[in-house]
Amino acid sequence: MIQLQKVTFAYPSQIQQPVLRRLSLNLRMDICTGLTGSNGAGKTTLGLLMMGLLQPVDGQVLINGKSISDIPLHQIGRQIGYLFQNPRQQLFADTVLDELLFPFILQQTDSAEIRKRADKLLTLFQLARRKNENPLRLSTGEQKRLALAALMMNEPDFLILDEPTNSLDLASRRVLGDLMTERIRMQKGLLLISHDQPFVSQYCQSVLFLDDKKIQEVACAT
Amino acid sequence: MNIRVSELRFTFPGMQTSLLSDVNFTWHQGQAVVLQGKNGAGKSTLAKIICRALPEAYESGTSGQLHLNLDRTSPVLFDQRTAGKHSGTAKTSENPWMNLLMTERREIAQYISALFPDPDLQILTPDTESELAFGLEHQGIAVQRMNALINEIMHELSLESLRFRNPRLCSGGEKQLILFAAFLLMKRPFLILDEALAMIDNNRIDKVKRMILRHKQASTAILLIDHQGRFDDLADDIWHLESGHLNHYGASR
Ligand SMILES: Nc1ncnc2c1ncn2[C@@H]1O[C@H](COP(=O)(O)OP(=O)(O)OP(=O)(O)O)[C@@H](O)[C@H]1O
Ligand SMILES: [Mg+2]
Repeated sequence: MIQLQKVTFAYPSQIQQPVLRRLSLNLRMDICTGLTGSNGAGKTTLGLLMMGLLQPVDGQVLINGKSISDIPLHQIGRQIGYLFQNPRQQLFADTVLDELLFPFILQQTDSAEIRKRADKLLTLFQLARRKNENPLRLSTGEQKRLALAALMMNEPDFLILDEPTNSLDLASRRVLGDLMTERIRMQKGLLLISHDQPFVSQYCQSVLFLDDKKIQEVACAT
Repeated sequence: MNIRVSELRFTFPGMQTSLLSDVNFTWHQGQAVVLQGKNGAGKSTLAKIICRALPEAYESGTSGQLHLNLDRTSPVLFDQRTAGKHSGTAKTSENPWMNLLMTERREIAQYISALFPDPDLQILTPDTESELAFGLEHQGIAVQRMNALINEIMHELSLESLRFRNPRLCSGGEKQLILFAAFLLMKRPFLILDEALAMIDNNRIDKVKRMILRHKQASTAILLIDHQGRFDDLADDIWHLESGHLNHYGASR
């Protein structure tokens, strides 16, 4: 479970105007929770706090009861996968295949099994034929699919996806939706930050609405 | 005014198959078009070729013609076939075709503006107010009038609180709203919105759509690319790009 306890957060350049004020929230890790709200409400900020990529000004974030400030970042990264709103922010490698492999090559944990996993994910996200291309030359939707595939390499326990359906075509949306459903079946949940109402209501078991620095549960899909 | 593209064929250097083959269309002022197609179908590539933002289109894998017809004056003609002959690399400005690209881009930029999916690549100034003013410069508008226009559009899109903020430090949707406002203020006769509104929230999207419609009625030509289908009801025509071909459909309305 991810818990926010009376979290207040302000960006350094806007220290007088907190984005979140004394926000408390319990997030189950075995279901798909949707998070919506207007532009600038603080959804991305909330996601970054849950990853330990931003630190609260006040209050705390707990992962399975443990304060996030006591967990090393790389350990959080192994447990929780994060898809950035802009996929370009998380593409580094020279080829599509390396994008999936390079963390493993770096840690010298590359193996036949890892390569098999990479092949499977590239096929799933319809990128198998592109594996030797430079990620920066892919279309925006393809970059998003690549970022998603790279994220799944770690087999994370929990996912935070920031607007994953933007620039995805119908077929890719379905691939993502199926993958989410399969994860829920395995009790590996996710937080879906999105304005895409049809997608949110189709795949989320619980939906949160963030506005005016407050959060409330708005709807539960069947 | 219209833009006419005929027999456009484009292949990325080093690729076996052409991405666009035999694309034909006329896009005229006051016409709103929604351009559809799967991921990787070539929508953004086509958009970039239209506004001369794709250097690769000047290499030999390209053929076809792109006419920009201005009313009452002789047509400005960009002939891709001439461009294709200057094969070579894009390294230096001494390259004849690189000069051609720069000249054409400058020329065409007076008529077409295009917003692409990644706002970070298009934000130019350190505060929202300047970003909007940038769109108005070179139009010879008095400062007072400029301020009035900026105030008006900020109010319409509820951007007042971002006026003195750095757009780079705003949220994804806020960035797109700021750029959208700046580009509307530019008032070019042709406007391309390539997934440029994807992060805008549901409260504001209707307002954004009304503004697009208003500009269309004031005879702006609009080209929209959006996977969520949120702009289909604004379209006079739907163009669908598939296997390099552009198919035309009437509006779904
Ligand atoms: N790096 C930053 N520095 C200063 N302010 C920021 C920064 N990033 C975001 N903000 C501001 O914090 C607020 C919340 O931003 P956040 O990105 O969390 O919003 P969001 O709900 O994800 O919006 P969107 O739907 O547009 O993605 C906004 O007012 C935004 O302008
Ligand atoms: Mg966001």
